[in-house]
Amino acid sequence: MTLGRGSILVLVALLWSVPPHALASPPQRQSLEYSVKANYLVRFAAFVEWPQRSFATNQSPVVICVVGRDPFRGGLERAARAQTAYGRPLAVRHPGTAEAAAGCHILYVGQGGGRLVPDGARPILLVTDAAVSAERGVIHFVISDERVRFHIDLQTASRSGLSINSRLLNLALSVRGG
Amino acid sequence: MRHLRRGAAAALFLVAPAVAHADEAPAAPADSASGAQQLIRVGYEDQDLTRLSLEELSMVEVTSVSRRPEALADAAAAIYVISAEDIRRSGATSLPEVLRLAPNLNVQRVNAVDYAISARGFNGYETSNKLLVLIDGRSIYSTLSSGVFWDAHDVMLQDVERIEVISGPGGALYGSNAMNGVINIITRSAADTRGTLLSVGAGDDEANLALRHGGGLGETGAWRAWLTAHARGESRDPTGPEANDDARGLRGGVRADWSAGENRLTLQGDVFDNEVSVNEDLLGTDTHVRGANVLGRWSRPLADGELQVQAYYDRHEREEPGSLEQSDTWDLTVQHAMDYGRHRLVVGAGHRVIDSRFAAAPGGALLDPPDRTLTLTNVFVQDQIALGAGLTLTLGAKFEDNSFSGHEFLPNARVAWERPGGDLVWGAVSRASRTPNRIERDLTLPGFLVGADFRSETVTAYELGYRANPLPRMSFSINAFYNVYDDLRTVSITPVTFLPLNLSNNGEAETWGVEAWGSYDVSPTWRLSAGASTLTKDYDATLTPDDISGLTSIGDDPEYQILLRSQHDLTDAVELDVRLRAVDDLLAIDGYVEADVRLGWRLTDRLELSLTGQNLIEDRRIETGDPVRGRAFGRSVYGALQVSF
Repeated sequence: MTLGRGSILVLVALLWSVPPHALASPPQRQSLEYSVKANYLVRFAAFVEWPQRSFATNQSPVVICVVGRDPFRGGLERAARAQTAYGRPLAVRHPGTAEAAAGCHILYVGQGGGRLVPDGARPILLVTDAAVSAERGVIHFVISDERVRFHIDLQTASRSGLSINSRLLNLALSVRGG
Repeated sequence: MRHLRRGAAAALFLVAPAVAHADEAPAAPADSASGAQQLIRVGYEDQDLTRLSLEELSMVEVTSVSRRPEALADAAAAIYVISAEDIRRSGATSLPEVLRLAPNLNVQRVNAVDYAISARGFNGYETSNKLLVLIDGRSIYSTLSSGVFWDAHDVMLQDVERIEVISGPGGALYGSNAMNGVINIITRSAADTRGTLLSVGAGDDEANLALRHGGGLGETGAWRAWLTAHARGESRDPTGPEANDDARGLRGGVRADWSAGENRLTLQGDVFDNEVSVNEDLLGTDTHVRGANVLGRWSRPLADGELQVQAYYDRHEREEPGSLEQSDTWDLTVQHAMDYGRHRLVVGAGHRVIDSRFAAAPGGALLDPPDRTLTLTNVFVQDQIALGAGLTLTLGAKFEDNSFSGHEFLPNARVAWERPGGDLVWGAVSRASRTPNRIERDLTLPGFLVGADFRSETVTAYELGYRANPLPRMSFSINAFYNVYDDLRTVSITPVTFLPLNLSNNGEAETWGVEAWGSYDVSPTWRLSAGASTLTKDYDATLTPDDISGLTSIGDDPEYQILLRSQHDLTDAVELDVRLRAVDDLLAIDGYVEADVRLGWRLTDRLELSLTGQNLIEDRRIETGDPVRGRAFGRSVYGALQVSF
């Protein structure tokens, strides 16, 4: 026991005496915040109904777009891989113009992406983020009690021709209109 | 050999009916480290998140940079997490039944209210004494016996956020009763339980009610108040018509959480009164268990880290035919976690005072002295060092001082290697101990058994683990352990005169085994999970003057158990869950295979109906080797309705 205690203490002392920069840089444990948001975007596809006309065929994918800066760093593509919604595959795109963004079903507005949001009441689930801007789309991400939660604007959703599953509404911190 | 061993044990414990609930090991104080749950929070890798439901996503903690919890996926330990969704879909109506979901726990139901639960062996109502069980940071193992009296502890299951089950020594942050495992039960913040929830259920074996209401407290706070009630019918008696263990109980509690700037404060408490008619002395007298507790926790960022202070008071009273046990426990823990370069350092200290009183009817077993004030003090430090290339070294140690056996030094070293593909290999070597309890020190049967200087039992544990997500929809974890125990509890004779006997530390044992679990999402609406654990014990049960018990303290464990589970959403509103478990033989009890099935129907967003069939395969079956307390169980049906608004 004495030996054990001694050697552990020596080991601890040795490790502390090495200057931090002498070894690898500190672990950058990335916050889960954006991983959770990416997975929400993917899950939303199964809990929102788009009008039939917004898909070319029965096999057309649900298109998830990010406009502006992409904070997910590949996380959205990973989350969407091999997932389906109503039997449709999911596709992730980064449109560079508002016209290109008009083909999206779910549109996340990142930093500086506001100008790429198509005008008018289109069947697009517009997702905004309190971490980016206070402007609210149909779904607005916020951090509440250290969890990623969201507000839903049902009025805008129905004006866009979208219907939102009650399970999703149930999870919202608040539901506006409806 | 087995008969002798059982006989000797029965002889010892039958003479001590008054201490029915105390026979085995007991306990000492736990250690503080209740704050440890703050550091091992559930975390997920990207690929794990894809397995979560919408509801589960909304529960994932995304703590800010100043308060980064150790991601579960990075923890160098065998951790299984039972999520709130798992609990709901299990149809289980009590905490011990929920714990059956963990493949790294063996759960033996003893009678209507008593359970024996352990990790990595030593199971049995009297021998399971090597687990640390925390409910929101409050330790619930008994000061008297070191075991958990499951008839006295429960929570409102609908408000549980998750249960972390760690098999193996809990490490420096958890302390000395965390010898073979830690069960960390975490309830939701009051901010997540606003609104009213009512759940009522009844079946042929039990009826339950749970009611909760929560709301806001100013701009940044929230509160909830809750009440649960249960009634259980008699279980089936393995031999005669009367099981005599019907039970009922009431429990109520409140919780409030505030954040004020960077400060976070939690205050919570509950009070309960349970009674059960288990009459081990055949007098037909009810056993009453009552208690209350109140806990406060405050945390705030401090110097690149977080400071947390937690204090609680717990009162417990158990009145049985022939005995009255009371205890008052005060506990204070302070913990500071901070980042320093590539070091993540946690330092802390805790102090606990337990005022324990035991009154026994004349002529039976007693505790001498009847009243004791016990203290448990500890100081702990853990450093998690990032070595680069995905390697993390964790060194921890705890110094502990307790009233019975003095100082203990409990070091552990862990290495985790996160490989580029995201899989993780880890290994650990730890020393852990279980300090003596009141029964081991003070139990006296005049002329037959005297208290002696029982010391701590110790273990050196070697562990190796691997976990991975080989496919986007599949994950698994496999852990192996090899434990070397020393100073296990034995029963020794007095030379020449034979009597009186005394409890001694002459036992040695080695155990090893493998635990594995994994899940596969067949589709977004259908998940299959499987888990298994094995256990081999090597010990000497020869009856000698040093041990006339044949080392009964080693417990009565199955050599393997296998769990299979299917969670299937048949439609948006209907879900079907099927669970199967196979458990190997005990020393004198046959193994069994059982099935539980739950059908849930979400009528509206606010109303859910469920129908659960439990123990569907056998009509009458015994799960425990306990010859006195053991009762039989079989097929039962339970229906429940839950409304929230």
